[in-house]
Amino acid sequence: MNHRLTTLLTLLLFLQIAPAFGAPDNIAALSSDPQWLALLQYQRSDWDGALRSEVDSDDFFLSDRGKTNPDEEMSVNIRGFEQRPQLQCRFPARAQWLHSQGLIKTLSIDEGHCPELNQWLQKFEPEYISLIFPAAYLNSPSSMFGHLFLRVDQKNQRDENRLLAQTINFAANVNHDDPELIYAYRGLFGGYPGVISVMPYYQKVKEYSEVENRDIWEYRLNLNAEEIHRLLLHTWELLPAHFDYFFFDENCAYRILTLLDVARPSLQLTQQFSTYAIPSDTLRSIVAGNLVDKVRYRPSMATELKYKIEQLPESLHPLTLALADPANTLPEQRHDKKVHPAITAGALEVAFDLQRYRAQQQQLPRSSVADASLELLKKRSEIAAPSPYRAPPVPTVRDDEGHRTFQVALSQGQNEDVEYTLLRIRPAYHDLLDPPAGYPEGAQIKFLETDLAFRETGTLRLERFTGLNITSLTPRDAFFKPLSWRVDAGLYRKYLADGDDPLVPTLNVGIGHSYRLAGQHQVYLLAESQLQHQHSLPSNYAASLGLHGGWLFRGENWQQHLSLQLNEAVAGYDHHYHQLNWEVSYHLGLNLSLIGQLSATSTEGNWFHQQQLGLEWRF
Amino acid sequence: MMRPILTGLVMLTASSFVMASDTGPGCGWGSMLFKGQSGVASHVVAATTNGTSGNNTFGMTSGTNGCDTSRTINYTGSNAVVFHNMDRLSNDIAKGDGEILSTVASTMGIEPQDVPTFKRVMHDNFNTLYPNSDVTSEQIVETMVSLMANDKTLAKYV
Repeated sequence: MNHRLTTLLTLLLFLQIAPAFGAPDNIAALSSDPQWLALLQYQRSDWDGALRSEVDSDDFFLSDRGKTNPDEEMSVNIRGFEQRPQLQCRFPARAQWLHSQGLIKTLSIDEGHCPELNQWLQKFEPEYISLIFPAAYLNSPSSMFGHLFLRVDQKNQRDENRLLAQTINFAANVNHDDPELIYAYRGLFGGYPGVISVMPYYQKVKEYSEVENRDIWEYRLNLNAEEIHRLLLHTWELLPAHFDYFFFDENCAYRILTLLDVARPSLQLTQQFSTYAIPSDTLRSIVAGNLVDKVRYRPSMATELKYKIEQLPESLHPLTLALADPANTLPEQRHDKKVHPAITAGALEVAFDLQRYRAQQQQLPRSSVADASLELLKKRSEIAAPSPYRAPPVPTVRDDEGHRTFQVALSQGQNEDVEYTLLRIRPAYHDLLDPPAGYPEGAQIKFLETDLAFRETGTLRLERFTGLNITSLTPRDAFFKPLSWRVDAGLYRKYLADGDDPLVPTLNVGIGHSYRLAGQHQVYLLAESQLQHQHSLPSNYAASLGLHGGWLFRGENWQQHLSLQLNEAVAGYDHHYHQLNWEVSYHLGLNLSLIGQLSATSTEGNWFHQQQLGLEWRF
Repeated sequence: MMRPILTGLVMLTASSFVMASDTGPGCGWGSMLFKGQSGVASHVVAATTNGTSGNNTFGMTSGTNGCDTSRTINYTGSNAVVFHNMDRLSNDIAKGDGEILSTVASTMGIEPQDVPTFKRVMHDNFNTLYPNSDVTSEQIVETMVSLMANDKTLAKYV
C-alpha cells in the first residue's frame, strides 16, 4: 500500500515537472489552449470538426502546415523565435504569450529590438478601447446589418480630439474600379478579401455619418491596459494578413470578436457565433458580457439636419428651400453688403446642409452646387451669432435594444379548401410588421425566409422561400425627396387558371414614392417589373410590369399593412395577376407577436383566397 | 416583338443597380465637396461588405490621395483633417464653431484658453480662407497659419 502510494506520488510529481523536460508533450497540450487558437485565428470547422485558421495569407504562418496544424505551428514558432529573435517583431502577441507560458526564454519585442513596431504602438497612446457601431439609416435598409469597428481612445481624450483617435476596422477591400456588375456580384458573394485597417476616426465618421447618413453609437469597453496592449500587438500581426471574405459569418463583427477574445481570453465571444454574426446581435452579447461601461451617441449629418428643420420656424421654410436651390442666385442679396434680416443664421445653415445632403444623394449635380454652397457659407460667415440649433436628443431605444433577429413562426392557415400548419424560419432580419423600436422606419430586410406547410392532405411542402427581400419605404416631404424601392427574389407560389399553384423562381424590382399621412399612417406606390421562370408555366416564363401600392399603420402595440399588386404580363405567359394582401401583427412583447394574414388573388377570371393566423418568436 | 420588351425589362431591372460615380479627380474645395456614393447597388453591397474602398486600407496613413501637401509638411496632422473634412470645416468656420474646427485647433496645438480666439479669427476671415471654390486643403492650412501669425494671441503657435 505504502509502496503503491509512493509510486503514485512519484508519478504525479513527474507529471508536474515532465513538461519542463519533454517539450513536445507540453506543446501538444498548450497548442490547444484557447489563447493560442485565438492568436492564430483557428476555428473548428462545422463540417468536419477540424481546426483551420481563418487567415488566408501564407506568411501568417511559420510552418507550411500552419493553417491546419496548431501543434506544428507552435513548435516552429518556438524554434523560430529562439533562433531568430527578430521574428518576434512580426508576431509580438504570439511571442509574448509563448514567453508567458515558459516556452521561449527571452522576449525581444522592446523598442531596441523592434523599433518599427514600437513606433507604431506609440501613435495610439491608448487609454480605452471603444466599440463603434454605425447604426441603420432610413432609406438604406442594407445598413440595418450595421457595422462594428474599434476605436483606440487616447489618453486625455476630449471632444476636441476624439476624431483624431485611431480606429481598427475590418472590412472587404472592395475595388470600385471593377465593372459595376462584377462589383455588385463580388460584394454580395464574397469575392473581395477582408483586411484589417487602421485609420483616424474622422475618416470613419465621414464615411458613416456624412456619406451614409448613419448615426453612430460608441460603447466604451472596460478592457485594462494589459488587455489593450495585447489587442494592439495582435492587430499588428494581422495588418498584412487577409481573409477570404464571406459576409455572413466571417464578417466585420465576427473579426472584432476575435480581437476581443485575444485581448481578454476568458470572454470566448466567437464561440457564440459559429454560424453567423450580425453586428447588432454581436453587440448584444458584448453588452450582456459586462464589457461596456459607457455609451455615447453621435447623430449623423442627416439626423442633425432633420432635427434642425424641426426647430426652424415654419414661416422660414419657403425661404430656406429657396436658398437651398442652387438655381436661385438671390441677386438682390449679392450686391447688398448687409444680409436681409429674414435670412437668418438658422435658415442659411439648413439651406447649406440641405444642399449638401441633396448633392450627396445625387439629386443635384455636385459641380453646380459648389459655387452656390460657397455663397451660402459666405452669407452665414457675415453673421456673428452662434448657431441657433440644439443637438438632436439621444434616441430612447438603441439599435442593440430592438427586437432579436432570428425568427420562428407557427401558424394555422387555409388555402382555398386545404388547411395547413405553417412553420416559418427567418434567419434575418426585420420585417415591416416587426416591433419598430431600434429599427429604421419603413425598412425591411429578409434573408432566407422559409415557409414549410404541413397540409391536412398529409403532405409536407415548401410554401414559400424568400432568398432576399430589401424594402425601403421612406416618406417624402418638402425637404427630403427619397425614392422608395424594393428588391425581392425567391421561390413563390403562383396560382394558375387550372387551380394548380407551382413554386416559381421570381424576381421583383420596384421603385416609387412614399408619403406620410397624419400620425402613424404611411402610403406608397411603386412601379414594378417582375420576371418569373418555370417549366410548368405556359411559355416557360412570364415577364410582367405592374403597380404595387400599400398602406402602413403603426399603433401602440400593433401594426398593419394593406397592399395591392397589379401585374400585367408583357412577354411569355400572357396573363394578369392581381393580389390584395392584408397583414397585421399584435406585439405581446418585444420578441413575441401574434400575426394574421388575409389574401385574395385574381388571375384569368379566377379568385383564390388564403388566410393565416399564428404566433412568432424572435431570438 | 418579345425580345425588345424583354431587353427593356432587363434594362429596367439593371438600371436600378447602376451607381452614379463621383465627379472627376481634383483637390479643390468644390471637387472635394460632398464626396460619397449612393445608389441602390452600393446600398446592397454595403450590406455585405461593410463597404470600404481600395485606398487607405493598409497601415496608418494621413491619406490625401495624391493631392500635393508637401508645402505644409509641418502641419501634416492639420492637413489630413482639413483634407478629409473640407465641407464640414468650411461650414464650421462660417458658423464660428464646430467639431472639425475644434479638431483642427487641437492639431495646431492651440491651448484651450486660446481656442475661442482661434475660432473667431477663422470665422472673421472666412472670405480670405475661401476666396473661391477651387481652394485646396493645402492653401486653407497655409492661410490659417498666416492668419495665426498675424494675430498677437495666436502667433506663438506658428
